[in-house]
Amino acid sequence: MHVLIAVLLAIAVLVTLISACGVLVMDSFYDRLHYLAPISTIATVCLFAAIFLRELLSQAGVKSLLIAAVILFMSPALSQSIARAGRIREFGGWNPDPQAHPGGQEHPRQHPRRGQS
Amino acid sequence: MNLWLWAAAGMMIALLPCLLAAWRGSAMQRLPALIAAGNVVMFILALLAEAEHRPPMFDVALAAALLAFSAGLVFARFLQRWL
Repeated sequence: MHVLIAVLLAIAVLVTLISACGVLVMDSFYDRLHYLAPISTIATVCLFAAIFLRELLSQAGVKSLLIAAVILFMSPALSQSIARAGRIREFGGWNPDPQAHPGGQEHPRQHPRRGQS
Repeated sequence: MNLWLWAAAGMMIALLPCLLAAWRGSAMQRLPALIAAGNVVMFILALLAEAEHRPPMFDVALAAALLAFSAGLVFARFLQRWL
């Protein structure tokens, strides 16, 4: 059991380290958002599974399950609302065709728009 | 130093890239780094609670989880138009 807990903790720490470096290295806002997923899924499951394996259904074990559930269910909603906010900030509105409403304040689009060379 | 404290030390190292990423770029580019740092801090709180055998301290990690989520929503909302 001790070895399994050590392996789970090692996975959690490594995934968090790599994802944090990914957030640092990536430039674009949307690219950085992708690196939140491994932290809030793989690292969360491994870390709180390790705690649960040691504590089982004690007070600490049940609370660790609760924390894991909070992170697993809320992180996707948070990432979606952040991506949506970024898009509205960049294009001025949540409409599919940015050409219709150029708007936006952020940096100019990195990729040429459809139809432009 | 037990296993849990070593894991907490590893998570603290992971906090550095998040803080550096939150240091540069536009307001929108910093937000994912802030969210990642919030998650890492929560992991550290849970690991320290487990390392010191203090079950009540898990409430701090749980509160951090809930507050990090709502803080992210508030940032997203304001960065959308007003900041």
